[in-house]
Amino acid sequence: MVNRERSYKTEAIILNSKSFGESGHIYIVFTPYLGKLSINANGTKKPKSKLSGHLQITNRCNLVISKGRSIDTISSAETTELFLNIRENYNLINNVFYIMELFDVFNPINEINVDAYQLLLESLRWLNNNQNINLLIIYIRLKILTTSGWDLNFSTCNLCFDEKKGNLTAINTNHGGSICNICKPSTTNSVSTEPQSIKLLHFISIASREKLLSSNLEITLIKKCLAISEYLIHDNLGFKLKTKLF
Amino acid sequence: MQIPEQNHSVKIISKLINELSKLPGIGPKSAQRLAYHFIKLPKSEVLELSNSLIELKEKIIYCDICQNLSDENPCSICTNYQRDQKLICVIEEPLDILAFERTGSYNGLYHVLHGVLSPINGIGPNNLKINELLNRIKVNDIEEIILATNPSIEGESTAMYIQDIIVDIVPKVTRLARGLPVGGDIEYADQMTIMRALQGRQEI
Repeated sequence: MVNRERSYKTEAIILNSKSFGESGHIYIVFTPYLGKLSINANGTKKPKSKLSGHLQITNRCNLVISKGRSIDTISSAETTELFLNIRENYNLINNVFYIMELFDVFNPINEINVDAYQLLLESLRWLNNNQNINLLIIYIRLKILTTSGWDLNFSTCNLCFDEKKGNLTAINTNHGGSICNICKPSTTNSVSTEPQSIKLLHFISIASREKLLSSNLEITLIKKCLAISEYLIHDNLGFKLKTKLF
Repeated sequence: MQIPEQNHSVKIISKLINELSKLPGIGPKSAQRLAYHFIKLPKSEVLELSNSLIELKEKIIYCDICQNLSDENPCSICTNYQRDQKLICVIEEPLDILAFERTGSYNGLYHVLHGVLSPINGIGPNNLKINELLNRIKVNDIEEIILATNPSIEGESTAMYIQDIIVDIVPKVTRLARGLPVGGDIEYADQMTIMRALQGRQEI
């Protein structure tokens, strides 16, 4: 017998919303087991809407969704985790918009990626604590590349596999990460940087959130890694994100 | 969506249906229904409608002071000196003015931003009428600014941004109360709404 369930339930984090019709919105949500979804919600512009408060960007909630012909519709929502500190700080709001856009562009519709969902949840909790935001952004950028299947290696030269960290002086995305000073001239589009920056990128790419937060990292080095990680994202996407990172 | 011309024997009707289909919320079926309705209407009524549309595009302008849509510059609200000239309510869209005016309880002026800050949609401060608000505050003796943007994350961030830049030049910056709507149900309210309602509670 064919399963004709007319609705389904899922946990989700609200990534974005767009006005739709007279009184509704289309919500872009990210779920752990259904991937990114684009779903409709009716009446969310009305003051007495039972849904709109639960469907704010960054809210983690449980949704009940009714299947539709062309688009599914949210029939009920309940917030399970609210990142209140983010909503009350202008700087954090700007950063969260950037993070939401990052997850939106890196995850196609309906493509399941449990690791990416866990990363998003972890990122929101980190951001909500308002600790070392620059480090968080670098961490997210490197991890999101990994969860998207683009694992960069910063521990050795990706051409000759030289392990001497002092020799790693460039990054080349076509060759999968760091390049030593000997191999660099034979590559095109390598971005020069200091060995300490590459060492820090390697550390960030393998360390846990707790270890990163407890480490005493040099601020100038973090800023350099911020620029490098932005280049990695831009190079991977081929376009610039709309959000401007403050 | 382009309607294939072979579906309608008359090109003029096809063209009208195509044009009506471009309107928000009007699909091909609604456009078709409207087009055939226009055919049945008296010519005078159709001319009245088309003249109204032309007049709308020719005569509607933005008020130089409050950025509201108006047929005169400055608009009738800004030139009404019986209103409180030292009070400005900052809102997102011109339609919000209608909502406030319907209450009959607000007697100040307005400033329309024409949107909210939304980095995820590429909308920054330069895309809104924030500079015009700043210029207005500097030139006039404003005592209070009410930040009446929507209680969404974009509305909140817009309010915070504006508050940051005007807090030192305006004696009083306030935000509309947020919380439970009249007729709402606490059982279905989300955590944020209840928290805001608790924060804004008042002695009775």
